[in-house]
Amino acid sequence: MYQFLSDLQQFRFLQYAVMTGVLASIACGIIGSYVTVRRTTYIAGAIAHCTLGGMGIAGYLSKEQGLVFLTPLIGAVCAALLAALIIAWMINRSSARLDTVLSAVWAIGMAVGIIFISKTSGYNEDLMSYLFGDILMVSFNDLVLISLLDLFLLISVFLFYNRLVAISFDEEFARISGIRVDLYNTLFLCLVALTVVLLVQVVGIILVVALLALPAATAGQLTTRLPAMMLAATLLCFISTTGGLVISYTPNLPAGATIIIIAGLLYLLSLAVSRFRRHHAPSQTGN
Amino acid sequence: MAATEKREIVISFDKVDFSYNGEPVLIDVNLQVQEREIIGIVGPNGGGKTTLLRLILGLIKPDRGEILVFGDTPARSSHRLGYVPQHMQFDHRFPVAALDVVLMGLTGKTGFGPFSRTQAAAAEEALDAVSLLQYRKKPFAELSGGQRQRVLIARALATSPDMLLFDEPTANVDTSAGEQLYEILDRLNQTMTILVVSHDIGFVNHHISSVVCVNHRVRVHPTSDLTGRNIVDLYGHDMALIRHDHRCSGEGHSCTSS
Repeated sequence: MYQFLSDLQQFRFLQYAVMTGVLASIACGIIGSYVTVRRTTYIAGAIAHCTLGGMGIAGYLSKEQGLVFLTPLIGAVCAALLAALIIAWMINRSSARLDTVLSAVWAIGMAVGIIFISKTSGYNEDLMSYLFGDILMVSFNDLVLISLLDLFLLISVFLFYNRLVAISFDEEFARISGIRVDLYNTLFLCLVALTVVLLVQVVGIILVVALLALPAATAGQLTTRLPAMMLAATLLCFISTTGGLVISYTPNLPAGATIIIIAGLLYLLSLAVSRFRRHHAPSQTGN
Repeated sequence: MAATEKREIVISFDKVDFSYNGEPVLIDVNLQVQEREIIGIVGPNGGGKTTLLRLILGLIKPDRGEILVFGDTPARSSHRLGYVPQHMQFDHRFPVAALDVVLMGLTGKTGFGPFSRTQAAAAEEALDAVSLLQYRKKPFAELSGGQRQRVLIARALATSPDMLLFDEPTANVDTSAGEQLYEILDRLNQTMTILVVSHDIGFVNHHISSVVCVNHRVRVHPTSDLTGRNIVDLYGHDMALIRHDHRCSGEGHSCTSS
């Protein structure tokens, strides 16, 4: 802990890591809550795995073809948005089964990524950091892009909060009452895609779904309205990311995995607390 | 109701066919509903009641024939319709308070960003109309079935509709809550047309001005404003289709006997 604090004052990379955690927490809390109440974590999983394709292509083009401006983060943003648009189009326009579409996006994205990464030098390190995240490797330029993504998410949710809630709660009624459901479903998936990209920087592709779902599920146990749930989820995500960074730092554990363990423990704790509350306040359900 | 009063036709079906995956659901439907009627839609499961409702709401389009709602296409008139679905279809863990659900009725008609004070006041008024104002901050999940159904009515009322459409309002609601729902419906019928899909025979007999029996074909009495209570005989067609359905034959009897 002391080691972490003294290094935090000294090292840029550690400051960037903490800030990335904070920025990711905002997106994670808000969009994670929507994803959880809509029960669409599987969609987020497909988009997350698809980002490997974008990161692989961007890494290949920048390292082997000299297009240095193409960072893996930019590749991930493009791949995630593309995946979101494909999934949205399939939901709105096609009769294909959703889980088949998701599996295809999931697997094809990864396959593309693996092929391009294998043709890029530094194969193993890149693959590991994409899959399991490397929050300590976030650069200043990444941080700027992450901040812009966060800002975009916040503005979108401020403007469209009511519509997103309405289509999540009752899509049919929303359609009848004049909301352009297909448009907002597409927007929602794009917001999920951007959030996924942010969280991939923190915990990597494989653990993204857990970070999206666990703080929101924990918050859902403790709150009864969506804005409160979003706030609580943001706070819980912040505790997990910062706590994970601090705890993993001195013993040199993988930060992403430590963050997920903390988020998981908080979720289990909230289950225990809400069970305890239900047992000791039986009159609450009666009225 | 005054028999001489000239009333506007608010829904008209002209030779409407609808099939789902090649299977005919509704065949040659002709139907006219006048303003401020209260119509019961009855028929066996799978007979097409819900399809009829969805056609009126503009959620699906007919294969053939024409549907007019308030003299326009259903999709263009849908903002004048208040739809009250069954309360059972909702995710009971969705974190919303009663007032939040009512506000969803206003969402499609408002600008972007948070709700204004005027909108919140309109939602509270709608909640008051179903006597649930004191529950406005209560989580939707913690309300009883009857209360939830009334919250959904308030959500539909918040859109200031000219017509209300109910899908099985008394399903999974206890008897006294059901009575309360009927009282609300009777009161609302003073100012708007009401369509109710229902299995509840008692309701069908006491509260409505006409019955529409739906079993692939639709039978409705053509001059419903003359007697005030017109009953439709379902048995004119397709005897074989309904013979095995106990529920529908029960309704059929109550239709013909009253």
